[in-house]
Amino acid sequence: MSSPATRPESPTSDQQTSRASPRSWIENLRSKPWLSKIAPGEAQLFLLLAIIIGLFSGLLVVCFQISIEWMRLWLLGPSLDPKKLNVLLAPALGGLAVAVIVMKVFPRVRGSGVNQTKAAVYIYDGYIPFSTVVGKFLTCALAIGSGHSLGPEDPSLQIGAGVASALGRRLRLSREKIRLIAPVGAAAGLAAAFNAPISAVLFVIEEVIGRWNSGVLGAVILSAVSGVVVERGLMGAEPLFRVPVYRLVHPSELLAYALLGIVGGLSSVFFVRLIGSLRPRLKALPRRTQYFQPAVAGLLIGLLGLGVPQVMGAGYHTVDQIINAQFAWRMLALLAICKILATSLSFVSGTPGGMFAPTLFIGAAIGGAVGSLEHHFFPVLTGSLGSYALVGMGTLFAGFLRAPMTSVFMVLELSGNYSIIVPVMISNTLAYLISRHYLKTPIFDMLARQDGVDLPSMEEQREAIALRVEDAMRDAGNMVVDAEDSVNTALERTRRSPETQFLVRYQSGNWTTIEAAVLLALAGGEEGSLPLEELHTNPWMPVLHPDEPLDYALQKMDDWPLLPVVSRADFRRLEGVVSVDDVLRAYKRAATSQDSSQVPSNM
Amino acid sequence: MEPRVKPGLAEFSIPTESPKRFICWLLRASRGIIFRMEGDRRCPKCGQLIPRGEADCPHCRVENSPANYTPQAVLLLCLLGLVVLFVTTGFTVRAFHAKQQQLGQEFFGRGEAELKAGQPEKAIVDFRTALIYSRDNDLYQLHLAQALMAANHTEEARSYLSDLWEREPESAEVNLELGRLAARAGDINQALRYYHSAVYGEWEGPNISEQRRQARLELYHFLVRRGANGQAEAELEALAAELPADDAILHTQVGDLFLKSGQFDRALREYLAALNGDKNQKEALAGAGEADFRLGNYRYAWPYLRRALNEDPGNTELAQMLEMAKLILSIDPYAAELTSAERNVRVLRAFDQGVSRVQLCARQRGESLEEMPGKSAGKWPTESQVPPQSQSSLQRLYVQAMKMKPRMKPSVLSRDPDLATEALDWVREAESLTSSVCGEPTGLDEAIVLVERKYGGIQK
Repeated sequence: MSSPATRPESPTSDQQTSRASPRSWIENLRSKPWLSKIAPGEAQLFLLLAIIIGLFSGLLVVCFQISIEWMRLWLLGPSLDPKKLNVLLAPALGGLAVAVIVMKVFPRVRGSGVNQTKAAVYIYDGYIPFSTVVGKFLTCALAIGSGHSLGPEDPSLQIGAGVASALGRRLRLSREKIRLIAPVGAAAGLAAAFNAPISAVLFVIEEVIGRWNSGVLGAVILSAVSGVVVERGLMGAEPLFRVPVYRLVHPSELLAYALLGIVGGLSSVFFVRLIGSLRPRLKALPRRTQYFQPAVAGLLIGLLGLGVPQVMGAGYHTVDQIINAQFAWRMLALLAICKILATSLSFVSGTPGGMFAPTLFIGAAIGGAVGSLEHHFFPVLTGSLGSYALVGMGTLFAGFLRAPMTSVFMVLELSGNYSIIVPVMISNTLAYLISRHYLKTPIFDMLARQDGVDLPSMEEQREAIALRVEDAMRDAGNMVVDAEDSVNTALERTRRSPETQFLVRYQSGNWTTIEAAVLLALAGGEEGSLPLEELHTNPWMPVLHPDEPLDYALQKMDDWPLLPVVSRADFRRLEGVVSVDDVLRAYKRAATSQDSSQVPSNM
Repeated sequence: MEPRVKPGLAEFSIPTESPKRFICWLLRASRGIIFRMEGDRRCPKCGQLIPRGEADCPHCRVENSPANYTPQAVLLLCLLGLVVLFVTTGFTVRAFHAKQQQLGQEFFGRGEAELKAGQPEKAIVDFRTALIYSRDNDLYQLHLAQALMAANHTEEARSYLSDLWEREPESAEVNLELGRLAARAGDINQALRYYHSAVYGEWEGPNISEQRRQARLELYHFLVRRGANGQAEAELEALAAELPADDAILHTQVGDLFLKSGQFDRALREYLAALNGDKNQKEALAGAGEADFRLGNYRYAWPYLRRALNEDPGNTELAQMLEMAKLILSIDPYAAELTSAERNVRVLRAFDQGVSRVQLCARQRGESLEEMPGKSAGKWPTESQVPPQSQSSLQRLYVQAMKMKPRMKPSVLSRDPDLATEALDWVREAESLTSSVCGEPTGLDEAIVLVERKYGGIQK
């Protein structure tokens, strides 16, 4: 990287092969006096890039959505009640074409896209080849447009991540930044597909990144907003669904939503188990069968579609109809079951596509069915069937995808009505707990493990016990002497202690150490009556507090054998001491207790 | 943290165990797919992980690429690419929206035709499809709601209409449909609310006044059907107040409604207003004649009825009414311009008719008027001789008439005006009794009854 003060002469071959990185470019800008005031830092450049990624992702997602619609019009026709021959053959032929493309040209586009993005972040340093973007675009448009029961959101997430990765590599960002830029693009793609920026940001943080990193949060939000702005600007600001007004009339109605949460939780368990059991079986078949698996799945979906055409494709129109109470409870139950079957067939056969839209569909159908039944038996209930369908969508999102925060905000964004938050939280929580009880591994982690990839589980990370200093500290015993004490007094106090070093406490709240040998040496002479603070010259020790994370203690430990743990309200009050050995012992204890409480996964 | 890879994946190496394996490797390498089968590995140059399926290290590839632009150039290309993509996407979106609009119109037209042909279920499917292609189209949604109502899917219709109402609470058409829903459910209060909102709401298209009138008319008919007559009358009054002065047809229609509801004076006012606009309008003439007839203004009714019959000669109802009016005018003994002789003649005629009516009625009931208790040798019993309780009403009336009959002569009537009054009182009572026991009168009897009603004698 050339120094900012020198001006390179003619570039050598070495210089040609290693061009200036953004950092050196920024340094060059800053060397110019008039530019230095306005030249952006790397952080600002990252944010600018986030906006560009958001715009790109938004445009691509719009094209993607239009491509799916064109495919549907071409293969299935414009009517809600397509011709029987089209219904039967389109998914099968579409599946066959998709299989050939995937096997021969774009092998990396299988799956929904979420795990693939996570793998890029955690394994491949944020690398997603641009061919994946192209392949995902084409194959998913064909698959969903031909009638496979999959959604466009997850592929949009991967498309956005792929665009971000390509841009990041071209701009030669640092390894760390390239790893972070993929989630930025993922948020943009998902936000544009869902038309819901908050949910997209939360999902990416909840499921892809796994932590609230302030360094990337701003970029994720910017890109999501940019993507949504583009999408709304081109496709209109209409919400995804027409949602009826909701009003909670009596708190006892919350029991009805609680029941929905239970049903939704059990349904999500069934759904996950179905996918979890079918997918390994199909993967275990000979490789040549993968050319035909999507086609066979398509044929079966076509057969389902002859009776229930609503289960084909993403199904947003049907969700809209469900929310507006256009089906009886029997039809809704049938739709839910058929959609679970159709989505399972599509997904386990290896057809590229997402599961968000089918999850919403199944949730809406279950919510509508449960709401209808409850209205039948308890006519006093005033909540509309649409509100049950809406809550049902969030419920299944929480139970199936195990993204509780995203599911709550998604329902809020889709409905635009804050008063629905209480039923949503109750129902989603119940579904989430039921799903957690019966399924130790969330769906995305299960799929990753089936693919032979061990990605970090965001759920496990969220629920991992955070160790604190108080978990490792021990009693200081007789280790403390006050700086006002004389040497002789200090020695008298510490005579019986086996320690070789003692902590010296000052009035100001600072701490330092003194060796026992030094005390002995000073006690025998004239300095024996002098206070320690006049004689002692060791540097101040860093202090810890009991609530601080334990890894913070390791960072501060440096060469100190131990550190004092003091109260935040009074630095002179010693709560305990902690050493490196204490920290390691605490980690070991935690690991031992976690291992003993874990039940082997049943997936 | 070292990223984990699938256990068991080895670094790439050329298999030399057997010629067959080496040839297979060579073939695969020439097709560039060998690396997919070998899994992930590390780049010897930069140490980065090379993903499965990549022929070489993607990081080094970027570094060594001949198209190796500076970051500034990449950003510039990005911006250019954005512009190009914006333009391309814009064109694509426009074409897509045009196609959607076209499909929406196509399905909407189909749905309209099916709804008009009385096939609401098919229309529903087509309207729904149209809405898919034009989601924010309120017209499509409104028509879908109408089709749903026609097919008796009222809950779904309500859902769509409520959604529309939330967005456009002042839309007259939406309020009208909601009013119709409420009317179907029999909810008078809701119907009143929505119909009024429709009447005073924002209408689209031509002839807004006519649409408002129709809405109010619909409400009126609903209220009449539900028996809310007071509210119905109020609506009719409001309707009448809004009519243009020169529209004869409208005034006639409203007059008909007043007539039907029994408000003859209001009906007459509307008919006269109609005749002001078109003096030969036959419905208005007929209506005015009938209104006057019902009000007892037979003198005024007769010319209207005559003119109406001239315009509509085949109308038997009009003809009957006209005949009756003429008869009434010819027998009315209370008419102001009569001479005493003419009055006496009419009184005698009424009296004789009354006696005939009593006789006929008694015959119908099987009562004998000639042989009754107390009568002997042509002499009618007095009340002291035969208690009134032992006679039927008809017999009592007949006795009274027979006692009066010897005096019922024009000369006696001229001398004794009280006799005329007594006779007419008797006629009134006789006609009233015979109407109640022997059915409604016809002909001259009916005319006599109508005359008596006009002057407050016989109550309906």
